[in-house]
Amino acid sequence: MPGISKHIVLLICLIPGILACNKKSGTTENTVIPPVAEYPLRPAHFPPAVYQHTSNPYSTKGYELGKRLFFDPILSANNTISCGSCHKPASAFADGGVALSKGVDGKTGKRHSPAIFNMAWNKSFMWDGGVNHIEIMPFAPIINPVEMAQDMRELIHELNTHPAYPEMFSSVFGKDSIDDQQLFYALAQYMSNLVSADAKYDKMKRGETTFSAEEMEGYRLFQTHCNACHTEPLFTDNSYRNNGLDKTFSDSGRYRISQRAEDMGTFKVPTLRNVALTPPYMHDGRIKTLTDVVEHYATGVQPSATLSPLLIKNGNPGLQLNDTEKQRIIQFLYTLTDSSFVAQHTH
Amino acid sequence: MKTMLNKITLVAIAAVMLGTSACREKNNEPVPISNGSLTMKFEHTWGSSQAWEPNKTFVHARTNDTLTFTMLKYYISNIRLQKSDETWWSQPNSYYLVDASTNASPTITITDVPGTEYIAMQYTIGVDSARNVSGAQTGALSVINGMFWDWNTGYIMAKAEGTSPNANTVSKTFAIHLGGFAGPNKVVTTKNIDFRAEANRYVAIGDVYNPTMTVKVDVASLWKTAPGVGTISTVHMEGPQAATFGKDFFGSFTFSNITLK
Ligand code: HEC
Ligand code: HEC
Repeated sequence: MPGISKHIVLLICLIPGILACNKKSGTTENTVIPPVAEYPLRPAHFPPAVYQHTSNPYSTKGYELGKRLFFDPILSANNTISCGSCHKPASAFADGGVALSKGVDGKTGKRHSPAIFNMAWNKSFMWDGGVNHIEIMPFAPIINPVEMAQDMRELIHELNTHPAYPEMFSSVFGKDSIDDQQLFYALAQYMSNLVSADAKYDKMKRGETTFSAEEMEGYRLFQTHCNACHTEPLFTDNSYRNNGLDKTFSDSGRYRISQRAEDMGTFKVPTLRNVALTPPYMHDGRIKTLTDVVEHYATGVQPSATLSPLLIKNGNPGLQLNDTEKQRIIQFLYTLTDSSFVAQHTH
Repeated sequence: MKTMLNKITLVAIAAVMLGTSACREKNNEPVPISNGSLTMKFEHTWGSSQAWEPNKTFVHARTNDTLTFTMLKYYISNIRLQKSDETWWSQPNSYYLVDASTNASPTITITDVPGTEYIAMQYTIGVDSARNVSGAQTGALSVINGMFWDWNTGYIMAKAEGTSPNANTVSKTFAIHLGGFAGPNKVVTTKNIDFRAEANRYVAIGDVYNPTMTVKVDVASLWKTAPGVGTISTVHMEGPQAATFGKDFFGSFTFSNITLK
């Protein structure tokens, strides 16, 4: 009996595969921008996604609606700021060189806009991990007075009286009117399918290309010094660590959420995918270049009670890298740039 | 005048209860068949005897603070009723936001209760941890209700806000927001009511029976052990402070009575 049901499941799984094959027939290489995927993108060399679309089934229409909302300033109080104002596709959805993004009326917060991709694998959101779910994530920027400063009730009213949105929402969710859950669902469908997995690193992993000797050396150094926190293949282990930026903390980081002494000054380990496209760096955007970041790890690590022991070598803070090693690590970091991801989302 | 009347009613109820206390068996009427409803009425008091009202000024007996409430809201969830055969009926999607900001005795109505006789009830003050970790919700749980923290995910299980000349804030306002859905500082509290022990009878719901149950809530119990508003004027996150307020306030929720119909 269980054997039979397994076969049925297998058959059902195969159907979309066959359909996809038929569509591809004739093209030998994928040079054009791919159409919006018909199912959530989940690369084979990635672990299972955290976000499973359980109560929010994925559809291309849902994705397109989420995309439109993401770039629509209607989400902000005075209709001037969209999610895309701070999360720019050309910068892998970070804020193109800006340390502290500007919200409504040019106001700034105290944290740097992180890049937005591979969000379906995030266990938590924000630099301090305060938000526990991708669906609820947009609530924070929407109501934050220095970001979009929007009143949620007013926003839902605006969407319901908009010339286009009511029909778009009902075609995705099949409800009479738009509510906040549908808004969050649509944004989650878009964000959870911004998947970056086609950098030179990925191609090397899939055997489609090879690293130069320098890149390979950089990769090995990375695995020795960085991978414990910036863990492959997502280049984060989703933990909170103090990487030695400060001795005392004006932003308490994870401590604000957990209230545990050992979390003082720790922040969520950011992914390093597309890192060459997302300067400046760190939770407050204080470091301008990758050279300076690597220099920080080599010589600038500040001691404190919560400094990660991984950044202490022979009793001294810092990774003690020589100039060639620093250079190689940076060369490796450039192999994490996924230009096809950027191209796909800027067109 | 009002308190006099209340006293008379109390005495009358006590007399009736004494008269029936031995009789813990089933009603003589036929067991209801069609679905019915149960209304929960939340009666707010200030201390044990004084009636509480929004926008009215009270003095706290222990802290001596003078307090005027402009907002009082809390979640009631996961309502379950135990049938006389001891099986439980759990209301699906059972979430209510009780708002006493403009009405001293707000009610919520649980509809589509299967018709039968019930012996016990369970309800939760606050929102269970599952709904705090499952993303976007609707209805009473929608973020639009202003009962959800955006920066540290979780429902605000109860909000008490108002003004006090004793508050340590410039605006002389206080805002006690109680959250914490898991861990050592969890405030979510589950209450059990045994109808046979507490109302001395089975409770029929359905057909002609749509009873109203009154729960007494002592607003002054917020400061049963917590320091006054001069020390803590605002609580805006989960933690030991919220846990103290929550334990005392939610601890004050007690069954008062249930009508027959
Ligand atoms: C004013 C600039 C600004 C706007 C507008 C903005 N964000 Fe952000 N976003 C930020 C900042 C800054 C952070 C980091 C905040 C923190 O950690 O405290 C962030 C964090 C995030 C994260 C978490 C990423 C991670 O890895 O943890 C997501 C997802 C996100 N924003 C999505 C959105 C969406 C969706 C919108 C539109 C509804 C939006 N943002 C609008 C600046 C902005
Ligand atoms: C102990 C864990 C840990 C190790 C080891 C570690 N990092 Fe980090 N890294 C972090 C944390 C945590 C942050 C974010 C800190 C903050 O913003 O306060 C970070 C931030 C970064 C950033 C900035 C990313 C951005 O988007 O802002 C880069 C680049 C970076 N690390 C590269 C490296 C490299 C290269 C190595 C190895 C030489 C390394 N890290 C080793 C934990 C670590």
